Amino acid sequence: MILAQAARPLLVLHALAAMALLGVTTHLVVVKVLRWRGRPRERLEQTYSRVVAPLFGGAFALGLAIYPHFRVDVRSRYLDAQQPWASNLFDFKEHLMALGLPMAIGLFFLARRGEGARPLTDLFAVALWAMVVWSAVSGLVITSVRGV
Amino acid sequence: MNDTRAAVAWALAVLGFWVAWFAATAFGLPMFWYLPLEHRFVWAGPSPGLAICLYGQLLLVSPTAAAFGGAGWLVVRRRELGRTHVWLCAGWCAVLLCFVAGYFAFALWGRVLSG
Repeated sequence: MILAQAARPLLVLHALAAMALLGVTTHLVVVKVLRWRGRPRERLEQTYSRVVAPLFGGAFALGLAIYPHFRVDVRSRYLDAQQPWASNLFDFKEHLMALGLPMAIGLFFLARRGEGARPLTDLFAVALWAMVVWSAVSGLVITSVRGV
Repeated sequence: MNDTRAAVAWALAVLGFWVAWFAATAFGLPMFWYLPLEHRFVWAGPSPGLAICLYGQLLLVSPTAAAFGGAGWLVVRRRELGRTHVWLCAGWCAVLLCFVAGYFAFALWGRVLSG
């Protein structure tokens, strides 16, 4: 378990990684939409697909590191009793991002595959983007209620 | 490995991950729980008090996903697959993702905590 003093800087890094992830997934979806409309950007699409996994993994790992401190000092001591909806929202966000993990890794490994893999990578990109948007907004809301 | 085989094998791994994640929560499968106050892990089914399931759940579902993906690869490696198969896999992935995410939304919406 991390020290309580490290929780805040780690939360800032977690937020920065999440912001970068939001940017990359949004760009990836934009590039996908451009391809659907007949204006493909092959290299950009591959680059964004490859960058998603390290960013997702970094943000996820930072979240895992902060979680014990959050669970004891924030959730258990305050949110569960005073703002249970925030605890529930946090748990949903946590499960949602865990479900996104294999898709982020999948995008990395399928990035250089051709047309054959496109239906799956398109689904992964759009679903991940939706999950990241939801989780970023949820994270902001939860932190506004009570941060680490 | 060609594109369609890689995509189908990966789709099966993702489906395995989601099925295992859902089953671990919905059926309270035994796994390692981290006790943050005691700084140790315990093997338990349902939540043993103030405990974190996330690490143990990841430990449980990752090999399951690898097994699904590996088995999928063994099945598809010598078959001729077309884009239709990838569309089918993507469709099933979308359905299962909606189902599992919907399950968590339903289970957590309005959940009453002991505080």
